[in-house]
Formats: sequence, structure tokens, C-alpha cells
Amino acid sequence: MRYGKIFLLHFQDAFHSRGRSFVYFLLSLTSPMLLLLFWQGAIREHGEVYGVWTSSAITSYYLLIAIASSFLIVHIEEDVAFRDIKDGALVKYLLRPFSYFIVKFMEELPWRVIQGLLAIVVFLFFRFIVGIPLPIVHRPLEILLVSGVFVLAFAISYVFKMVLGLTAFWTTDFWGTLSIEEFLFSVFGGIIAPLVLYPSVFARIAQVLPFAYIVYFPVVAVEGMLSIYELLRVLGAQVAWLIILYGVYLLLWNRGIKKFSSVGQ
Amino acid sequence: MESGNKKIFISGTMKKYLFVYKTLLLLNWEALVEYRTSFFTKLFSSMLYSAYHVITILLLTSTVPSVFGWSRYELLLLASTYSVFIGFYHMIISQNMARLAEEIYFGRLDFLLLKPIDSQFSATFWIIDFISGTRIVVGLLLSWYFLQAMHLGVGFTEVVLYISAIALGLCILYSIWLSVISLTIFNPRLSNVVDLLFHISEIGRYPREMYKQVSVFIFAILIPFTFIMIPATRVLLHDFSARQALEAVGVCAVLSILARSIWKISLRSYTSASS
Repeated sequence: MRYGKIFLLHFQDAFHSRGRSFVYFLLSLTSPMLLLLFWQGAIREHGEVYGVWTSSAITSYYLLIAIASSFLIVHIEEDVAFRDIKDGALVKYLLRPFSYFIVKFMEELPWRVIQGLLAIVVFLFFRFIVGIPLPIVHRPLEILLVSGVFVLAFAISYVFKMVLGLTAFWTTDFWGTLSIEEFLFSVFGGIIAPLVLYPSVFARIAQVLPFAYIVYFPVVAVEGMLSIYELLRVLGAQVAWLIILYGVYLLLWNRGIKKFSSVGQ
Repeated sequence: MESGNKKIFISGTMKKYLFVYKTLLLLNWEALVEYRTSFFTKLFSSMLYSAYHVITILLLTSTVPSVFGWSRYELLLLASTYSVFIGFYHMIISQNMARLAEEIYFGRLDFLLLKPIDSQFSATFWIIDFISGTRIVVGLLLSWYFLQAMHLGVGFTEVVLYISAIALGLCILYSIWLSVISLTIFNPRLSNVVDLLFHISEIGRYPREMYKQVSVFIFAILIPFTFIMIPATRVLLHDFSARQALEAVGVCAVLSILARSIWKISLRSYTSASS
């Protein structure tokens, strides 16, 4: 109940800054739209090379990537690293009888909800007004499994970003760490291109890392490109990554808190 | 006599700004090397980002030899030229723009405005990020490699034109950014528009022909961004005409005047945190 109230308080704050939320939403649209333009040209000129990836398929892929990115990719790491650890605001969380992990989740969730609502509006606009066919699964079992994929993707995104933020306990410059993470996410997260269009080496590396399980696999799952077996495999990989990342989070938190000084690093 | 006094005034003002900028260079360098670990982390991430643009094109063109009339190597050259360009931009300008948006949001622009130098200079040229220089070096090395692969030579004329084209591109992008950020004075909550500008600047990474797919209205908006990178790359490809140069200079001049005007008009509406 108390965490629910914390969520509502932060939702009020996030709704008050809905203009900022809209700008962040536009951010998630920009790169996929540019890549979509590139791919449409490439497929128009060399369609025979890309097989099932027609102009329509790539359009729906990137629109779904843009929509899914807006509410699946969490951005709590800067808050954790800069405000809490560097500026010392963490002390107020340590003094309260709440789990830091859950409170930060309640701080981030309202922003994701608002951007998720914007994403739904964009989805409906492109689907019903523009008329772009955005295929989504419709069988009950698939819907259930795909919902699980989305929930776990969000959970992985949150835990991963919390782990990233906690590295600020040991670094004086967090921007470098953030830049490396953004690079890896763009390359291996299915943002530049669907993983099946990558050279095989890149595709295999991407399958092993957690980035593809945050945006790429949820998108291809909702498009119905994965069989039931593949959906179960993705779910298994997501559960494994969630356990690993949460273990790393606990390790970093227990060690980092011993280093923390209340006036900041 | 009056023209002589005017010349002395102008040269004295120039000397003052050069002295200020030289001091800023030293202060920023000292701040950078103060923490060695963060210095090396930033260096590594900067080099990684330099490679990112090239890796993106390699992945995008891994199965096709050309797109939009640009061959794979030409696209790679465009990507490496973008690395050089964005290296300069991040070194000299982008950090200042991010700081400016924050100062406007928190109502702290007064500290910039009260300084006895031009407000636009103090707001947009104060921070120098030397680490971004690695992107310039990596970009130049990659450009040289791709030119060798295409068997294209570069003479003194091409070097001069290349530097001029990069400078024009910097001026165009600076003007666009300054115009947008100046407008946040009217709505400071939208200070995160800087993050959006970082992404929108990537428009210049791709060939202009790519944007002809969109509606004329959208293409017209995107045209200034295509002048950022294409001229410099076309110089290296020996495909740059006088007409293209005039277009780029014209766009730069118009946008610069517009940016300065918007900055001055917006400042009249600025209210600080205490007012």
C-alpha cells in the first residue's frame, strides 16, 4: 500500500512534467525513424537480398521498436549515479523504512506509464489512421507468452540500469560508462537492424548479451515471428538474465553502500 | 581618426576574447586531467563512439554494395567524416549547449549574463571537451583509410575546402541548436530538448537522397541538416561544385543571423530564479 502511494506521488510529479515526457518520447522515435528511411531505400533497391524483410515488414519492425523503446527502456541510472550517489541524496533513502530498489522503481514507473500511453496513441495512429499493417499476435497462448516477455524485458531493463547506476560508487566519471552502455545497446539490442540481418558473428554475440532481450525479442515476439518453442526459449533466457543481474545488483549494493559517504563521492 | 579609433577598438576587443578563450582552454585542460581514471574512461568511450558510426554503416551495408547511389565505401567515408565533424562539435559546442539549457531551467543564466563579455560567447563557448578530440583523430584516420581504398588522393585544395566545409557545417548546426535552446527560455521545463537535438543531429550522417522519400514539407525542414556533412564528404570525393559551396554558405549565413536574433529576442523574456 505504501509503495502504491509512493507511485501515485511520483505519477503526479511525472504528469506535471508531461511536456518533458513528450520530448523524451520523441527521442525514442528519432533513431528508429532514420534507420527506417535507410532500410526502405535499401530494400527498394536490393529487395531480393533481404528475403522476408519487405518494406512493409521493416516499417512495422521499426515502428514497434520506437514504440517499445519508449516504455521498455528505463532511464533511472542517471538519477542513481548523479543525484543519489554523487550528490549524496542516497542518504535520505537509507534513513527511510523502504527498499531503495522498490522506491526507485516507483519513481521510474510513472514516466514509463506516461510514455507507454503516448506509445499506444502512436500505435493506434499508424495502425488505423495511416493504415500501416502492424502485425501482432492474436492467439491466447501467444498473447500470454508475449505478455510475459514484455514484463520480463521491463524487469531486465530496470535491474540492468540500476546495476549501471551503482557503478558510480567506484567511478568519478559516469558519462564514460553510460556512453559504452549506449554503444553496446545500439549495436546488440536490435536497434540498428533486426538481428537476423546481422553478420552471423554479431548475431550470435547479441543472442548471448541481455540487450536484445529488452527490445528486440519483445518486438519480434509481438509481431508473431517467434514460435511457441522460441518464445519459451526467450522467456528462459530472460529469467536467467534477471537472476544474474539481480545477483550483481545485490553484490554491488552491499559493497557500494560501505563506500558511500553521506555528502557524496 | 575615427576609423583609426574603430580599428583599435576592434583589435582590442579581438585580443580580449582571444585571451579569454586561451584561459578557458587551459582551465578546461586542467579540469580534464585532474582525475586520471575518469580521463581514461572518457578516452575509451570517445574512441568507441568514433567507431560506432562506422560500425553502423558496416552493419547496414553488410549485404548490399550500394544504397541511394552511394557505394559502401562512400557511405563509410561519410560516416568517418561525420566522426571528425561531431568530434569538433562536441569538443567546442555541445557541452555548452547542454549547460545553457540547464542554466535556463534552473534560472541561473544571470551568472552568464552579468559577465563583461558577449552573452552568446560566454553561454556557448565556455566549456571545451578535449576528449572529443579523439573522435577527430579516429575519424581522420578512418577517412584516410577509406580514401586509400577508393584510390582517391587529397591535395592542398581539398584539405582547405574540407576544413572550410567542416567549419560551415559547425556554424549551421550551432545556429540550429542555439535557436532551439534559446526558445526554451519561454518554456524552461523543456530543457531536455538538448537530448533530442543530439539525436536529430544524426540526420547529417546519412545521404541527402535518403530524405527525398519523405514528404516535401518534411524534406524542406531537414535540408539544413544535410548541409552539415555532405559538402565535406563531397570535397573528399572530388564531387563538390561552386554552386554547392554557395548554397552551404547561404544556408550558414541565414541561420547564423536567425540564431543571433532569436537569442537576443529570447533574452528579453528571461526571468531568473529570483524574479
